[in-house]
Parts: sequence; structure tokens; C-alpha cells
Amino acid sequence: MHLLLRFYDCDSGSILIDGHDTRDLSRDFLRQQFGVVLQEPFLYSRSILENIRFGSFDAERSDIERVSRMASIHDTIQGFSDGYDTEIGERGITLSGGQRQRVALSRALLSDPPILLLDDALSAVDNKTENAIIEALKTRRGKSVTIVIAHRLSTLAHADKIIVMEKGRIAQTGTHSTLVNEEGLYQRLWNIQTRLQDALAS
Amino acid sequence: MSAPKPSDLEDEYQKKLDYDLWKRIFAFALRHKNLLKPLAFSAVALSIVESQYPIATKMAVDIIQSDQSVEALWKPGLYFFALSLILSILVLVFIRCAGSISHHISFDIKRACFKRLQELEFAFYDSQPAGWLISRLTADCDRLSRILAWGFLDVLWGLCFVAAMAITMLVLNAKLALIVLSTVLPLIIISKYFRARMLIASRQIRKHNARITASYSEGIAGVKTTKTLGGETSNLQEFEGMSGDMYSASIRRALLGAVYLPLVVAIGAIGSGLALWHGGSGVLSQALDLGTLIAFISFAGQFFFPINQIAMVLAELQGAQASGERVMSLLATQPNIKDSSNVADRLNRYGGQANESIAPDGYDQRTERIDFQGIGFSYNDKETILDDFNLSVRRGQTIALVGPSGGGKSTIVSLLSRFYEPTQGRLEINGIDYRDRSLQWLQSQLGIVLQTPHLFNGTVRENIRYGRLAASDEEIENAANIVNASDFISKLENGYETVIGEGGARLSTGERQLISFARALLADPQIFIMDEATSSIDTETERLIQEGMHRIFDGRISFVIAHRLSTIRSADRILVIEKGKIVEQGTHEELIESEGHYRELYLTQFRHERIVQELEAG
Repeated sequence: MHLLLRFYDCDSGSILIDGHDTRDLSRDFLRQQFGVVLQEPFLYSRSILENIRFGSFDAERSDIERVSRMASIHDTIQGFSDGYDTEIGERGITLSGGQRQRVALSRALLSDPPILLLDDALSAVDNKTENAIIEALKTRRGKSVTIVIAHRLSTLAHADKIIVMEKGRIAQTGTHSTLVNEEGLYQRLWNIQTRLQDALAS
Repeated sequence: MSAPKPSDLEDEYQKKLDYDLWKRIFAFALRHKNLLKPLAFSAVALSIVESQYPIATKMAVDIIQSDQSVEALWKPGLYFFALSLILSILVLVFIRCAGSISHHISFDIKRACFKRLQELEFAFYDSQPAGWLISRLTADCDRLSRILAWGFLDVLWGLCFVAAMAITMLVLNAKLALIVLSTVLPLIIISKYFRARMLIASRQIRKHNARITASYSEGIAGVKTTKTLGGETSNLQEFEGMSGDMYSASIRRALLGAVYLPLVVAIGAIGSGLALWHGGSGVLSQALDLGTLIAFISFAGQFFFPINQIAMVLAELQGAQASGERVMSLLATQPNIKDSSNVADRLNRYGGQANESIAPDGYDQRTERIDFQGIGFSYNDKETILDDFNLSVRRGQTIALVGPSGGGKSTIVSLLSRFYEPTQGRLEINGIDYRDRSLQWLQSQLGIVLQTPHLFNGTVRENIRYGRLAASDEEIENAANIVNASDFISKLENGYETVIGEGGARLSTGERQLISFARALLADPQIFIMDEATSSIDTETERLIQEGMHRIFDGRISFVIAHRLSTIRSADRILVIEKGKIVEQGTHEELIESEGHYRELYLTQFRHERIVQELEAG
């Protein structure tokens, strides 16, 4: 992920976007193509509105509310005493891990990036909310690429392509249905889940 | 409440001085009369001594004028020397007194605030951002103590100095004195005007500087996010705005200083000029001697110092008024959760007895049962957190609380700990409403282990001993042994003497938890409350924690906000809490059978734990 965004350059090989080496693209242009949400997102000590708008400063209020709804955080924000103008950080309220992740997701969605990169970005969000977010993200299908890094299989099951990484190498690739039928880490993880349900059912 | 913006400062300084407030604050200084008296004495004496320097000059001039021999100059010389000697002794006295008073007052105010902060219940901390409040209080206390001691000294000295000079001049020559004194009023007006503005400007510079520092640190901490969002330019613009503000505030401060000093020096010079003009003709007509004239000229130049000093203190008083209001209002805040007068009576009546089976408030020491009866709770009278919650627990039972975050689990244990009180219903201990029991007694019966236990900066031994300060080394090691903590402790570099906590050896969450178990066990609480850690712990440590935990549960009433299956399964009763209500309760087997919320939660958690294990193994 760091290589993709050119925080670092690769030692060997190259990354091509639509056939162009990332090193030949301007760094600003490259980063504009991405919406990134990290596992422990950084929020600025400002209002929620300013945090979401950070990066796309001329966004309309209606757009901000739309992306907040997609990230399932709109209702939570409305529940705060100052709504979107609530200050966060040192001088304001403290958000939970899941809330921070969802605010950061709204921020990433606002610029409507061609590539959305979620680095274990929903780890602190509960299952139900996660499902709602994934459903909302499906509306972006066909328009843009979404790259998801996750441990929870439920987050990944909908993906067009799943890449199983082990020790810096790609161990397996495929869709959920092909990987489940292939011997390997993915199958083992999936089996834990299904066997358990069988065990309880009997 | 949030930190004021630099521009808000202007309003703060425009406020009128609240004399009543300052009287109450000054009471802190009055407690130290043994220091305040010598301080006042030295301030008055100092001003009188200082006002007599021009007299030494006058004596010397008079001697030279009167054709006496040069040897006669020993008299003004000795006078000058004596004044200087007394002056240095007095300066020594006042610096010692003012410094020491300032520290005493700071200590007193901080202790009073700290005591009050400890007495106040959690609800108070919910409405105040604690970090900001406490850092403000520290700064406020320092500011008040400084201004009380040094401000008192400066004002007293300044007033006496002006008075002493005025009297000396009036005695020497009334008419000339009145002419020179006519410059005092403009001096006062100008000093007051400029001093206040200069102080505001200085404070603004400091605030802007603090904002620039904060912006630096945010810029560094958030570098990855800023880069991915391409926010560098806007951050830079904002930073430029801030340093621009700092620039203009600095210029303003420099300008004010550049105008003020020449202005007051000029007024002094006008005073001297007036004295020379009127007095000079007197000297020529021999109605006035030269020594007196020279004394008057130097008097006229000296009024600036005390008046400047007083103006500075007044400006600071104005600026410190907000500090004073904050401190005084904190001290005036009464805790809402405290022993009722009824309990206080009982404590007086039964408190002294030696019978160990009776608590200080006269009821049974032993806690047999706890009943939640129709308990409702809301933090701010708006949002209901708990509604009609009923539960009865007996000694020896362990209750596992499970459910989504925000469902009310923590509220239940906070109510039990009486950090908050229920807004509806009753919580009974042995059938008695716990508001009729001593707060101190109840809280001393609690053993609480938090998710991320707080360890103090000290050795392992000291951290465990915090559970019961009187415990022997043997008891400490015994407790550590029972909760399975002794193995890892003995592997630490210095065993029980290893320094942990901030800046000490790094311990894993599991190890911290084991230490806090030992601490809790040492206190031998009747009620044990635990908020289980959610973060993953390796399988071996997890097993140790489970064993240790169950040894603590034995014979107590235990409430566990549980996240781990093994903990949940072994509880006597599992409560599934959602939206402030018990949605399901029973044993693990019963709840799995019923195929409801619990089963769903259990499955999710089971999957999660197994997947983490699988990934660890891979």
C-alpha cells in the first residue's frame, strides 16, 4: 500500500496504473487518485465537518452528508450536541475507534476517488454496521476500484478478487467461491466458521 | 468549554476588577500572616529608604555650597552608605518573604483544588474536559499565587514610594512639590493605558506561539493522512495565517513599548523641567538653595517607576481575574454524591468500634447480596441509558455482562461503584439502599480491574502494594503467586523491584492485567469488578489470566464486562445487555439453547478468536 501511494519506491519491479509507471506520474496527481482509510485514522483537532472536508475543501454540505450516510456515521454525528460542527480532539469530544474509522471513510469518499484503499479500515466497526457500509460501497461498483485489506472474512467475501498474502508473497488469488474450494489459508479460515456452525447445530 | 482564542483575550482584560472575588482570593495570602507582615514592613520601609536618596545628594550639594571643607562630605557619604545597606537588607527580606508566600499560596490553592476534584463525582468530569480543566488549574494556581505575593508587594511599595516622595517634597518646598506632583496624574493615565495593552499583546504572542507549536505537532503526527489527502497546501496556508497573526501581535507589542517608554520618560523630564524653571529662578533670587532644586529634579524623574509597577500589577490582576473565577468556582462546587446527614450520624455513632463484622456505618460488614431494583439512569436527563433494570446477586456468584458497546454494561458497574447514582429505582446491599451506607465503606469494598489497568511509575512491588498499603512483602508475593503473576515477574530484569509504568519496563496488556489482579486480590474486596481486555492476548497468557481471575472470583460477588468466551462460559449468570435492558439472561447452555442474541454474539466472537489463532499459527 505504501508503494502504491509512493510513500516509498519499490526496490525492484514497477507499479502501473492504466499502463503508466507510478514513478512517471506527478505525486500530487497520483495521490489524488486515491481515497485512503487507515486502521487507526488520524483526525485533526477541528470540527467533524472540517475533518471530512479536508482534502476537498469546496465540497457542498449535501455531499458531505451523503458520504457520511454511506459510511453509516451521519446519524451518530447528528446525535452530537453541535452536529457536524462538533469539535474533536484535544479541545473537543473523543470519538471511539469505530467512529473515527467511519469519519475517515467519509473523508476518503468525499473526493470520489477512482481508487478507494481501505487498510483494515473497518476493524473497529461492528458487524451490522460493517454490512451496511459494504452495501453502500457497492453503489460505487463499476465506477471505481476498491482495495480492501482485512482480517475479517465477511469483509472480503463480496470482493471480485481476493489475494491471500503470506510472508510478503501472494499465496492464493481468486474469488470467495474459488478460494473456499482450494486448499490453503483462506479455506482453513472459512472452515473454522462453517464447522463451528455445524457443531452448534448438532 | 474550550481554550480561548487569542482574540478573546481583549474582552477578558476589559472586564472591571471584581473586588469581592479578589478579597476571597486574598484570603489565601492572609493565612500566612507570619510572612505577610514582614513582607508589608519591608515594602513600606523600602519605599521610604528609596525616597531619601535625593536627600543624600541635597546634603552633599549644600555642603559644597556652604564653603565647608571637603572633609565634611563624609556625612552625606555615610548617609548614602547607610541607605544602601538598609536597602539591600530589605530587598533580601522581601524576596525571601514574597517567594515563600507565593509557594505557600500555590500549594494551598492546589491542595484545595485537588481535594475538591477528588470529592467530585464522575458526572462532573463528564461535563468538563478533564485534561484541559486540570492543565488550566495548574496554570491558574501558579498565576494567582504569583500575583498575590508579588503584586501585593509591588502595589504596597509603589503607593508608599509615591507617598514618601510626595511628603518629602512637601516638607522641603510645598509650592515646588505641587508643581512636580502635577505630572503624576498624566503618568498614571498613560501607564494604565499602555500597560494593559502591552500585557494583552504579550499574552497574545504566547497564545499564537502555542498554536504554532500545536500545529507543528499535528502536522508531524498527521503527515501520512495529510499526504494521502493532498492537504499540504491548505495546511501551509493555515500555518502562514497563524505565523502572520504572531507577526502582527509581535509588531504591536514592540510598537506599544516603543511609544510608552519614551512617553513616560518625557513626562519625567517635563517634571524636572518645571522644577528647574520655577526653582531655578528661586535659586537665583536665593529664595531656594541649590541642593533642594537638585533633589526635586531627581524626584521628578522617579515617579515613573512606582506608577509603572502599579499599572502593571493592575493589568495583571485584570488578566488573572478569569483564573481566579475558575479556581473559586471549582472550590465552590459541591459534590453531588456524598454521605447523607443520616449516614454521617451513623458514622459518628458506630465509627470507633473494633468489631470487625460491623462496618463503620453500623451495618453488617459482610456483603451477602446486591439487588438492583427497577433502576433507571440517564447521564443528562435526556438520553436513557438504563431502564427498569432488575438483578439480584448473591455472594459467590459471578455475573458476565455481554452486549454491544454503548448498551449500558459500563453504566451498570459505575452505578454499583456509586460513581453515579441511579436516577430511578434503588440499589440495595443486604436489603439496605446503598445511599444509606457510607460511600467510603462501599468503595473500599470494591476491587476494580480496568481494560487497560493503570500502573503507576514505580516498582512491580509498589504497584501491587497499592491495593493495600500495609501489606507485607510476603503477602504481596503470595497474591502475585495466586493470580499467576509471579512467573513473569521473576523473569523481569530486577524481579519485583523492576520499575514499570511510564518510562519503565514495557509490559504487555496481559502482564499489566496480571499485576492489577494481584493488586485487587491484596485489597481483598468483597465486590470484584472487571472490564475484560478486548485486545488479543497470546494463548498462554490468556490461560494464566483465566486461572488467576477465577481464583479472585471465589467467595466474592463478581461482575465482569466480558469479551472472552472462556470468561463468559464460566460465569454463573450471563446478562445480555442491549439498549439499557437485559434482553436475555441465564447460563451459557441455557442461552445457546434459546437461539437468540447470545448465540449470535457467541458465534461471532468464537469465529474471531479462532481466526486470530489461525493467523497467529500461520
